[in-house]
Amino acid sequence: MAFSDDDLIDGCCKDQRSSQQQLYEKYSGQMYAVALRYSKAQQEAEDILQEAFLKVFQNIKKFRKDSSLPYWIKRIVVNTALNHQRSKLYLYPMVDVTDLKSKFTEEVTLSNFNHKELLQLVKKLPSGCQVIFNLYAIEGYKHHEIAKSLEISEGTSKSQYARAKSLLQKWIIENNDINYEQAGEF
Amino acid sequence: MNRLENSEEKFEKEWRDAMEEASVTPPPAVWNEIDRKLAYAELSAYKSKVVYYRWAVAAVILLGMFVGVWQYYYFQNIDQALMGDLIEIDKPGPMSSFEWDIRNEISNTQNGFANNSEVYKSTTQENQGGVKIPKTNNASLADFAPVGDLGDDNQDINNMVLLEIAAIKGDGIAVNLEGEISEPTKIPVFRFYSDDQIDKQKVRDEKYFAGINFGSGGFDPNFQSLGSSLLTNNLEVNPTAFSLADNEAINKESPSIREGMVAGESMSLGVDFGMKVGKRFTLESGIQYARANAVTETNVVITTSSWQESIAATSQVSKNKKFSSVVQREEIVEYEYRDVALTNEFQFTSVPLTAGYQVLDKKLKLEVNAGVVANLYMGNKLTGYEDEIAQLSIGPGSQSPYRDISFSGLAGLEIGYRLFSNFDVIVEPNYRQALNSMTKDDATFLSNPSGFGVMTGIKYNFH
Repeated sequence: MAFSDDDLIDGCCKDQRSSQQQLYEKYSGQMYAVALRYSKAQQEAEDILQEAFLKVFQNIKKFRKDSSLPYWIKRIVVNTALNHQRSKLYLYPMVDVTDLKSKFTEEVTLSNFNHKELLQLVKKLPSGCQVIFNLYAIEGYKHHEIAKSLEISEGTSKSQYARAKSLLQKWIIENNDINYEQAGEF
Repeated sequence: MNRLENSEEKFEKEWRDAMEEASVTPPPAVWNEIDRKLAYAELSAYKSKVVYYRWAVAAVILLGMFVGVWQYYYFQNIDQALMGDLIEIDKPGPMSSFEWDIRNEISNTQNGFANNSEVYKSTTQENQGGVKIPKTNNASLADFAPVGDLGDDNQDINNMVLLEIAAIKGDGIAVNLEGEISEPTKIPVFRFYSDDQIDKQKVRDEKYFAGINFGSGGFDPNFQSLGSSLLTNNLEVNPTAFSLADNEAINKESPSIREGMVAGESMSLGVDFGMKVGKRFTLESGIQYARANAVTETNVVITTSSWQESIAATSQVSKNKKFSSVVQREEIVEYEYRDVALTNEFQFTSVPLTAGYQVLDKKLKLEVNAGVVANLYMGNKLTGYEDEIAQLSIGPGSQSPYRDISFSGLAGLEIGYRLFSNFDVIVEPNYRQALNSMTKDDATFLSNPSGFGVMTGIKYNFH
C-alpha cells in the first residue's frame, strides 16, 4: 500500500518506524544518486545518505510544507554532502585555474549516456571541481552563492567550474568516440 | 557570444535533466544502520527521562531529609526552652516526690530549691511563689536528693494545686503552687526522664504496629531480548512452514524485526505489620497486591486462519501452547510488517520483608528501610492499542515465560508524623530493583524490573 507524503510525514512525526522506513524506501534511491554525485567513493555516499536521513527523521517536525518533501530532503542531503566535502576542501584548497572553456568549442551531447555513466564521470572530477559543478550545473546555485557557502572567492568558483566543465566535455567526447567506434564495428 | 551562452545553458540543462530522475538503490546496510541509530536514539531519550525522574525523586528524598532534620532541631529547641531537660509535661501528676526541708529556704518573699547542699533561689519578684529548677545538662532525680516515694503521704499535697508550669526567661521553669506550705512538707514535682529512659519506655509501649499502605510509582521492565530474530528464535516459528521467502519484509536477516518494552506505572495496595526490635530498629513485613503497566512494541503482526483477530508477535507468547499449535498447524495466513503497541498489565502478590533504622523518633519520624520483596507472579494481560489485535493473557505455570516467584530489593526513607498518640501517617519514597530476572531460564528475553515509587499509609502503634 502506497502512502502519501502527508501520511508518511505524520507517521514520522510520531516516530513510527514503519513510516520512517517507507519514507526512506520512497526517496532513498533518488537521494543516494545525489550523495553519489558529491562523493568519491560509495562508502562516502552511504555515510552521507545515512547521516542525511537521520537528520530528516530528527527534524521532520520542523518541515513546514512550504516546499515539496523530496526537495526538502534533497537540500538536507546536499548540505550534509557539503559538510563532508568542506573538510576536504580545506585540506586541498582550491585555487583559480586557467579558464579552459575555449578549449572545447564543439557542442557535446549527453544523449548517449545514462545517468550511472554520468555519475561516474562526475565522481572522476577533482574534489573542488566536483562540488562546484554539482552546485552550479545541477542544483542551479549562482557563483556568488557557492562562493559564500564554501568560503571561497567568486572567481575561484567560476574557474573551478570552468575546469570541471572542460574535463567533462573532454571525457564525454572521448567516450562518444569510443561509442562511435564500437558502433562502427557492427 | 549568444551561441556560446546558449551552448553553456544547454550543457547545464542536459546535465540537470539527466540527473533529475537519477535513482540508485542504496545497499540495505544503510537502512539497517539508520534503524539501529534511531533505536539507540529512542533508548537514549528514554534513559534521559529516567535520569530526570531519578533526580526528581532524589530531590524529594533530600527535601524530606532536610525537613526532617529541621523539624528535629526545631522540636528539640522547644523542648529545651520549655523544660531545660526532659520533663513529662503530659503527665503532671506526682509520679514521685521529694521531701524537702524548706523551713529555712522558703520565706514569704523568696522561694528556693534544694539541690544537695546548694540552694537555688529565685531572685526576681515575678518568680515569687514559684519553684525555680536550675537547668542542668543531666537533671535527674538524683540531683534533687529524693527521699522516697510519695506513698500514702499524698494527703500532704492534696491542698496544693498546681496552677501552671511555664517557661520563664532564663534557666529553669517556674511551678506556681497555691496553698499554704507547712513545714516540713512535700511538694509535687515532675518526673525527670533521660532520653534513654524514654526510649526504653517507648520500646515497651510501642513494640508492635500494623497498618495499611498504598503505593504508586514507575515500572521499568528493563526488557532485553535474547533472540536475534523474533520469528526464528523468540517465537520459535519453523521457517520452512511459512514460505518466508515469499515475503521479503520478513526474514531472519532483517534486523528491523524487533520487540521492546517501554516503562509504565505501578500501584500497590497492602497491609503491613511489624515490631520494634531495639531502641531504633524495626522489622516489618506484610502482603501487597501490585499491578504494573508497560508497553510492548513489536513490528510484526500475524494473521491466522483460525483466529479472527491478528496476533502481535511477542516473545511473551512463545511458550503458549495455543499459539504454538496454530504455528505448527501452519495456520499463518500473513505476516504484516508494521509497528503495533500492546499494554502489559502485570499482576503480582508481593511479600516484603524489611529492616528499618529510626533516625528520628519524635512526633516526626524518619526511618531508613531496606529489605527484599518476594513477588508472586499472578499474570499478565496484553491488550493491543488496536481492536484488531488479539488480547493475550499469560498466566503463571509451565507455559508462562515468567517465574512463579521472583525477588526484588527495596530501599526507602519513611517519613512519619504522629497523630492521636497511636497513629502515624507515613510517606515513603522508595526504589525497587529486581534481584533476579522475572523470566525463566529458558525464556527468550530477560526482564529485571526497577522503579522509583512513593508509598503512603497509616500505622497503628499498639500500646
